[in-house]
Amino acid sequence: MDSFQKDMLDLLPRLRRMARVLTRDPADADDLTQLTVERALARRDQWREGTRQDSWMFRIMRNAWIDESRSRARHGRVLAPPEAGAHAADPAAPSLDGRLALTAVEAALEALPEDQRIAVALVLIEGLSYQEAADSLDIPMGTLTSRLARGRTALQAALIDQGARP
Amino acid sequence: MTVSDEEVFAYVDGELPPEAMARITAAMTKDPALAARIQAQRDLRRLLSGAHAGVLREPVPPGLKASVSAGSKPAEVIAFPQPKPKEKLKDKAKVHRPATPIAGRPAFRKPPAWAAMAACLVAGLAIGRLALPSPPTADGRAAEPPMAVGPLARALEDGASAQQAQGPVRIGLTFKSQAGRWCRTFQGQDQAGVACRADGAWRVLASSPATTPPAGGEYRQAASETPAAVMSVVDGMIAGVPLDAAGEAQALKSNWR
Repeated sequence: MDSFQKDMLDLLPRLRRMARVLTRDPADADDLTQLTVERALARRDQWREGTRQDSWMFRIMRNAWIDESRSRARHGRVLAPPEAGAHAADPAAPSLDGRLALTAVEAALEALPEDQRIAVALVLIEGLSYQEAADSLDIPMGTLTSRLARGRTALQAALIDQGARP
Repeated sequence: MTVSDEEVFAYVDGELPPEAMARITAAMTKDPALAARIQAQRDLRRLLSGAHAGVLREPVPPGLKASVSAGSKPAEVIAFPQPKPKEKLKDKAKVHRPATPIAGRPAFRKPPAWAAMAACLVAGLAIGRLALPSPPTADGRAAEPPMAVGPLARALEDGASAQQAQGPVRIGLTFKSQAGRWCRTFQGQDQAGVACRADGAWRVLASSPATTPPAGGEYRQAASETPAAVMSVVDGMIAGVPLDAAGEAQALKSNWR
């Protein structure tokens, strides 16, 4: 194993966390992490030494998630047997326990639209700079900051509603 | 001084230029309302930094770790020369080659080398005898990619992607290439790849060792079952999006016209 792979191994917990924010389901999250690792390994010649491997992999993950979501929407039959599809479509089904165990802020995060959720996760959970997050998402910095602002406002409102704000 | 929400956010995120940071820090001491807004954002940041922190403490599933170390040996992808479109109609869409060498094996892309690679592929497929290379042409030009035969040919021609785990070959995605050809991804016992239909036959454009589905009867999505290296080839040649079930049934019914 070389240093590229060692660094990737160290990143796995954070990749799994990001995948949970994206997929909102622990099992899907690990599938997405797996896919991200496979793609990153297949494309490792595209990674430039000296750049952040975490934001590079978050970018791969985000694109993999877009591909997955599109495939699911347009190609559901191939991607999942019908019973799994029906299961996935029921937000209460995957794990009621897991859902109850979510903290107030995690629940509020889940309720955000995907664009805002990713922006919030990259900057406020993963600690990427605005520039790094915008690059990961292939969007201009202004778009990133406006998604971030809307996400924050919504999160705060949700937390106040739940009486969860400290 | 008026400080917008965006400035408060950027201040808390440390994204303002140093002078602006200093200005707001100074303003905060005289403006309790501003100080409260900033505190609220700091609290939110702190809460978020702990979101899903549990997953960081969980042990990483061994399968995930294993797939990272498995990357020591880059997946071999054999990219075969694509058939040249003959008809004028198809010429307007140019044949698209994957933009970057797959898995860092540029030597495979030189025409003289491919025939040997095709032989290796066939060796790899020995059990199923899934594809046959066509012999290089006399003038030394790269010949067409290997033609699918046997169970692979039957699966590509007649198989619906819904037929999970039936027979030796499963079909994944069905799509139109940028050159206007029908293409399908397939997964065999130990080889997976992508083949396109030309002049009534299926030609294997790229193949790679199959990824093993996880044990335990868990379902596995077709897209992720296809090795990432093959998906990169698909990404490079697909026009639009893969067919849905109805589109695929239609294409099968019309015998790929």
